[in-house]
Amino acid sequence: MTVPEAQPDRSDADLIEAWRRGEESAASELVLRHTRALARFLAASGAHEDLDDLVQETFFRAFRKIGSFKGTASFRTWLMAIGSNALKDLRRKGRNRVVLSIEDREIRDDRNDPHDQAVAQDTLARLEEQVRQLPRMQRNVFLMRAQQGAAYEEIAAALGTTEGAARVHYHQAVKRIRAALG
Amino acid sequence: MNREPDIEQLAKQLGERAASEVDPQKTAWAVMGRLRRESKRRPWLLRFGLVPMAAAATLVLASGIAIHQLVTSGGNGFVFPMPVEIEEMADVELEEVLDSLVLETPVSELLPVALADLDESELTELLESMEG
Repeated sequence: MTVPEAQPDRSDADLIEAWRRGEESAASELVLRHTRALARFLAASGAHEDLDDLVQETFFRAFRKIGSFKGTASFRTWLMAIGSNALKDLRRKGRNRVVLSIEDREIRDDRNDPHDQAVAQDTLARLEEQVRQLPRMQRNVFLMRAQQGAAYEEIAAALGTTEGAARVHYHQAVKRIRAALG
Repeated sequence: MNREPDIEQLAKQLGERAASEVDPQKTAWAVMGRLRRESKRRPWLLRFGLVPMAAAATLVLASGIAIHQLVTSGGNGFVFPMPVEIEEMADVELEEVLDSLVLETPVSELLPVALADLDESELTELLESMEG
């Protein structure tokens, strides 16, 4: 089985409509387009060992319930909301409980100064730890906003909350992180 | 590193390394394979969320048939289910039920006694006799 060529000229909305009509290559293109962003979101949410499986499970769930996608949020943000639920389900089943220690994680940094690199790695590791410890809603909003650059309006639509509530969650998340990072 | 813009900037790097190890082609291949397998197992109505639409269409169709039956029968041939027991009905409600059975003359004019004076068995007997 081969995966079709990329179709960069088609919008997500076009591809979703095509998939609803049964065009398989449209679904493939959506996977190719959003896999990395979804994986970053899930990894930052605490998925590590099962990241591949979790990404696949998220896409599978999304395509199965594509009828409920209203287009009020972007497809990518909607995917992340589904991914967050898939991660929660996985944790409930008792898997994926291994949390890597900061020392185990190799964090890339392009700066040459070893001291700067060490500081940057340490800060990023602490941030990762803090993000993981946030309540789920705060973590979702924080990552959708800070990591993915989504607007509050679409975050609210994807997570089934209001724009105002999404702003509050975000600021609470930042407040906690700032306090923890000192 | 305690300013909001710094945190936002750093947050963009979260999960980068782990995500770089996820292969989009492999993911697409696996997802499409699973969807195909699932598709063979599921009835076509379940795909794309068609069940709610089918349920809604059935409801509309059934309502249409019921209304058509009511209109064409002039209200006589259509039997509504009785939602309450006779003893639970108020006098006014009973009169309304009886009036719906006797089309030309109101029940109150036909009866020698007030409905409120009848007990449950007398009312049941009366209704049965009117139904023929």
